[in-house]
Amino acid sequence: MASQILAGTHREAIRAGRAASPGNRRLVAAWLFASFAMIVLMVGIGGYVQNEDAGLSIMVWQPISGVIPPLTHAAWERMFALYKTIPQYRLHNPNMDLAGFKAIFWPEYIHRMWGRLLGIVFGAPLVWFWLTGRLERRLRPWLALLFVLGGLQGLVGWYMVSSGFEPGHVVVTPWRLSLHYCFAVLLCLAVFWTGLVVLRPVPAPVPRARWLRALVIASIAVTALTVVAGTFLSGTRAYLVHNHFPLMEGHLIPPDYAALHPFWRNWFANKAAVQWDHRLLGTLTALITLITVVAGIRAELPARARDAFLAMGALVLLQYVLGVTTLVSKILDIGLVHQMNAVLLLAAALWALFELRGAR
Amino acid sequence: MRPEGDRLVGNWLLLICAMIFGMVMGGGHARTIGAGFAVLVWRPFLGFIPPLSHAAWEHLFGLYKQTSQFRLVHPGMTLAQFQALFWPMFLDRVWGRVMGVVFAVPLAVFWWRGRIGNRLALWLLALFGAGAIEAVMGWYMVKTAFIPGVTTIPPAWLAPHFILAMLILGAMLWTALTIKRPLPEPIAGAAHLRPWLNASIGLIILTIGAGALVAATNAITVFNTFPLMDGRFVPHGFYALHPAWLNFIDNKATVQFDHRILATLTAVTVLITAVMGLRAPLSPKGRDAFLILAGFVSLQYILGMTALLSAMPEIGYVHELNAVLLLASAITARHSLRGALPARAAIAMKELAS
Repeated sequence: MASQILAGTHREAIRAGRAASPGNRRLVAAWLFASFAMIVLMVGIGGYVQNEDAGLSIMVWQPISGVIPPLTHAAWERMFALYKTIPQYRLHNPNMDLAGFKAIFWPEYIHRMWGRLLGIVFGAPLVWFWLTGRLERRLRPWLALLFVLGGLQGLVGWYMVSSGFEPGHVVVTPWRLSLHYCFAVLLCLAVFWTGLVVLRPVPAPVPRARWLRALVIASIAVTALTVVAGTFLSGTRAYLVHNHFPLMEGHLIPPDYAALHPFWRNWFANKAAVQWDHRLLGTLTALITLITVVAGIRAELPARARDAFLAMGALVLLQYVLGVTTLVSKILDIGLVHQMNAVLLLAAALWALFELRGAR
Repeated sequence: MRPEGDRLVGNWLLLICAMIFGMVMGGGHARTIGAGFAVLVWRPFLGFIPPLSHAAWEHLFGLYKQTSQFRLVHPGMTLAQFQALFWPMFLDRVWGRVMGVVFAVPLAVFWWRGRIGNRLALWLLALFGAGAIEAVMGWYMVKTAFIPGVTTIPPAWLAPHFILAMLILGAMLWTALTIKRPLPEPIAGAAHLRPWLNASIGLIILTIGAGALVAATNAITVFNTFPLMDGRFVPHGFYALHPAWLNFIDNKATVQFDHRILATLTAVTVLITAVMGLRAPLSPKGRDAFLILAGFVSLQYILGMTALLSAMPEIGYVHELNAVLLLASAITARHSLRGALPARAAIAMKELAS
């Protein structure tokens, strides 16, 4: 009995040693960063589905059997017949033929398949790392939780899509779109942060950087708020109006800002107000982030921390330019890049925060 | 030149740089409001006296009435409207004279008192000569007003006029910085930044020239879309004029396209340079030069885009001024790296010392 316990402890000790070895840490971190990259791409694919108005084309939710697309003409007709029952078809696409339906089916199908692939790319190594003792003890429940949340995101996606089938709706509701996007971003950033912690678990002390960390946290907060506002802009299609910059049809504040009652509804449902909010928040984010970046680059920091601030500065500038460009050009593909870049910007800010973990 | 640096002489030249910037402000403002052809006399010494009598005003207005700009664009202009155009242009010219005095008088005194050596004095005299050439060139540019059919400043005059101003400013700034700090500081591991800064400076000047063509042809009024030009990468009517080279000077579409391409190339190059500088092992002060460079170039691109999309000449004017600041910041960064050494040379020097 005692020897068994001893052997068990011994095995546990070997496993802990293996989990903590630098080579293993790099391996686990690489897996997490690959998952992160795949989620960023997923955000792009999701944006493409939205741009193509393809989100409502698959009216079934079959997590496993949905892998198989319609293979026969009859199967296609069944899928198409389902689509024909919803208002989007009747009001927007009454003349759509089967070829037109296939064109909106495939983007949504690929979006869902990418999600399944992500489940495998995240899940399979998770099991293998777990069984071979490559995961530190404290990481195991956390990573399992992330996996479950990833599955939940699929369900949230379906919850969003199903809102578009309701009578009187031709697109999904902005609230659920926002939920789906924000959930994705949170998951993505959680995976990214975990990867950083796995790579370098012990923070190095950074003297006199507390104030800088506070600035980074402020940047992250205002960026997150802007992202939420951006999801409502996207959900209400508010990019279709006021395609001017810096003014909105000659006005600093659009005259129909308070068109809806009660007043708070303007922030979520009034295109002009939603766009104005995102412009204002975007500008605030750019300013606060740039101040943070300048402060970070001018401070006495380790080279890696400075790189994090550089990345943050580059991405925030790119983000602003992409946002303005989307608005004035109405090229939705640029908006898609803007959506993906928002995630990268938040990740860069988290990286800067990570480098300042040891701030004193 | 004093080896420890001469603050007074250096600051005097920096003042001249600031005054050149003021000249750009005045000239750019005059151009933005369309006052380029308002003062049609050339009296280098006594021209600082404004018209004092009604007859003098009528004489000047009469000269303006001979221009095609008056006949074709403003046939109903009154004397009061003419005066509103006259004053900004007049002030810009007076500013140039003041600058000449602020440059020439201290130069003579410093030289006479031996505070600056013959070599430096001759160099500064050459810069003074360049300023005089700039003024003469400005007059010939304005004189095109009398050519029948010419209703705005010709691009082929405006661009060289602006480029020469930038070259004078660059030379003046470099001279001022060198006088303030004559001995280059050795900086280890920064030599690779110098060619990048050289390329940045060259590209900035080239883009400024293209920008002057945009301003002169009033190309801000067309293709107010970004990133494409009315849905096309190469705009419609790119080769509308004959002979072909004329398109690169006088065709709005071509000139705007060139400026877009050059500006993007410049922005990318300068940003790469700035990032490399910020990542290099420089002192915090040395790093600041690159931070400022990155700030100005980002602002410049955004201002340019905004000017184009909003078609607001006022933003274009700010864009023009910011271009000068961008050039100055690139030159300052380059100057701070005169003593840059490759990393290997620095290691060898350390070994020699120990």
